Amino acid sequence: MADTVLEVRDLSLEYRSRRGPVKALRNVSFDLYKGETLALIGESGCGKSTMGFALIRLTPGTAKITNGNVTFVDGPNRINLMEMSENEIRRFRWTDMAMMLQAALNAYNPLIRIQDHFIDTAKAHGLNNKSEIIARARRLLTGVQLDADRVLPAYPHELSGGMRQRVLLALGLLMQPKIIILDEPTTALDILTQRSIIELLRKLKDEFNFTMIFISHDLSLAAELADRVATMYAGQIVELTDVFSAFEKPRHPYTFGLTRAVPTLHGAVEKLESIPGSPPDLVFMPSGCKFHPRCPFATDKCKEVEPKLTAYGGHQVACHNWQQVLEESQKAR
Amino acid sequence: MALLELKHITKQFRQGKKVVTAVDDVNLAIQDKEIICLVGESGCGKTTTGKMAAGLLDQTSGQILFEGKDISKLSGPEFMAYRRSVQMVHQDPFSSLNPVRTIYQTISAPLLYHKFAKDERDARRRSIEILEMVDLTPAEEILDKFPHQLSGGQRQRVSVARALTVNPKFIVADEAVSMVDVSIRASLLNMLRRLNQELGVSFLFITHDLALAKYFAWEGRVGVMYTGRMVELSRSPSLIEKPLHPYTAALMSAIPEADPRLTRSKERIVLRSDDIPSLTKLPPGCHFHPRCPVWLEGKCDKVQPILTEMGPGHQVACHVAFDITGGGSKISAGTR
Repeated sequence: MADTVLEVRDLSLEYRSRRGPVKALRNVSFDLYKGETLALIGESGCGKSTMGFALIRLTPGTAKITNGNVTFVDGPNRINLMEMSENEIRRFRWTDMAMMLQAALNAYNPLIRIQDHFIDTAKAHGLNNKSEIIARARRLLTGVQLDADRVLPAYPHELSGGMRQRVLLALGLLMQPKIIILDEPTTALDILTQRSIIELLRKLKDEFNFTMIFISHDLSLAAELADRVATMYAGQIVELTDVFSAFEKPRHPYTFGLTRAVPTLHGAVEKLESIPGSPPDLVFMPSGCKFHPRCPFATDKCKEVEPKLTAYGGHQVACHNWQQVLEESQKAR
Repeated sequence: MALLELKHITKQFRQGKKVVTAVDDVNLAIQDKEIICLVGESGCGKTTTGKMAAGLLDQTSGQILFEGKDISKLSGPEFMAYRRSVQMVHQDPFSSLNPVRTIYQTISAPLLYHKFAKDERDARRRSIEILEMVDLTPAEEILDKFPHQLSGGQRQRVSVARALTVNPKFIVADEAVSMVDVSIRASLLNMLRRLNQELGVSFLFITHDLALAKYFAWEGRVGVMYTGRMVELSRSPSLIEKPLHPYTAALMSAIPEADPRLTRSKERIVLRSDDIPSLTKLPPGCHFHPRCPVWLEGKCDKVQPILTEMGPGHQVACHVAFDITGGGSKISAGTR
């Protein structure tokens, strides 16, 4: 595949809590390729949003990155984000890497107009010519299929959920970042609005050529948009592969379980199966493979030794019994 | 005789000087042991309809019949019986349980109040039975926990258990699984289906997710609502396989599926507009016509279509579907 734009190595993060450190990310390593769309999927509390924040060091005060590096590769330049000063990273966000937050409304300042969101953002990143900023904002708003004349003077509460999500996309693209991280981009939206945002993301990606990471608990969104899918569980990536293999030839029992838990609209009604149990406590985690208490494939080895994410011909999986899982998943099809 | 029947139900809310019609002339008869799913986007009136069916909200006009009797005319004891027979499970298991009560206190209160248990010991025994019915085990231990000690899925099971304490005949479940993680959603749905099969409880299941409606109500019916009106109501297989209303067809074509090959090759119906009309400024004629790809000028913008039987157990409110025989195929072969 293409060049790498982001290298993540052994990234670990802990949240402080009264009960002890919450290990939200544990030695996460992966490469993000230029121009691809990577989906991070998993249940609430698996560390997927934390990962999004950690990649641009936008973590809250209670969090601490305890280990690891995130390297941004720009042609011959390699920039380690963990070594940047506060000022440098502030510049870096938005110009090179932008993140769009989950709840579209909460991402805005309710007291200022949309146009001031654009102006403030641009000024913070060194653009001072107001008419140029507004001209750029207009182009972007038109690009996300909004009426700039109506939207620019409006306050955030005057816009519908879908419009807010569109403005957020336009705002994110203002500084033409190379990487965009979207946290649950369509979660609170209605079906038809969700569809138009999906189509819009495709169009914008063609137009602006950015690389996209999106975080979602919604498997169907990953099926729709992603080139590769990373399944997260208990603060780790447990499977990372192209979207077709992830859904058709899953090798991790958790990914396999997720694909069997979601109903489809087309085809026959098949009995859905839940994954038994619930996600682990990230303070007191089970021994060995963190999934073993819920796993139908678990053996004694799984209780003792935590499997490492290992590549088998481009398909990365962290499971001792992946061959068996693959076999089962093929039988189930 | 239907278990519960909504007849020409309308609900209006006042918003300042404006009147918002949240539910507009909805008719729905729920049979014994039947599962009906109401689907639609936010603001379509599905929750308001559910609340009226559960007796939690008064209708502005129309009639609600329970076992053939108008509920506004029930005597005291009859009304109590109706209230016991119809229960509601809410969307958010984090806010629908009292945080300072143990699960036992939550479950036993209706048991004792409605005299389903003669004393505390009996209430405890019965509570354990009910928790086991919703697959909450070990029930003995769960009883003495507080809601915050349980996961979202477990809490939602407690909500269902609480509804079951009074032996209801009918449960309104409003987005009852949408706040629960995907991995455990299926087991909740399977549990609810089992209650339907084994205890014969009827369900009005409100969801925005058509795929979920298909799974849950395959043997039952699905109703699609748009701007307060029921636009299509049909036996599930017929609606899913051959939607007759262009709005239903558009929804189905828009939903991403958890299968990359399928979802990327689906035919999409492109609407003329993405904007959902405001309930205070509804377009004339069919409310969907400004977005509809197959609308008929001079008809759809003038006359509001009425829900009409088009095939066996399949009702639709659409002029175009009326005009074209086998209209569904024409609609779903719309533009890409």
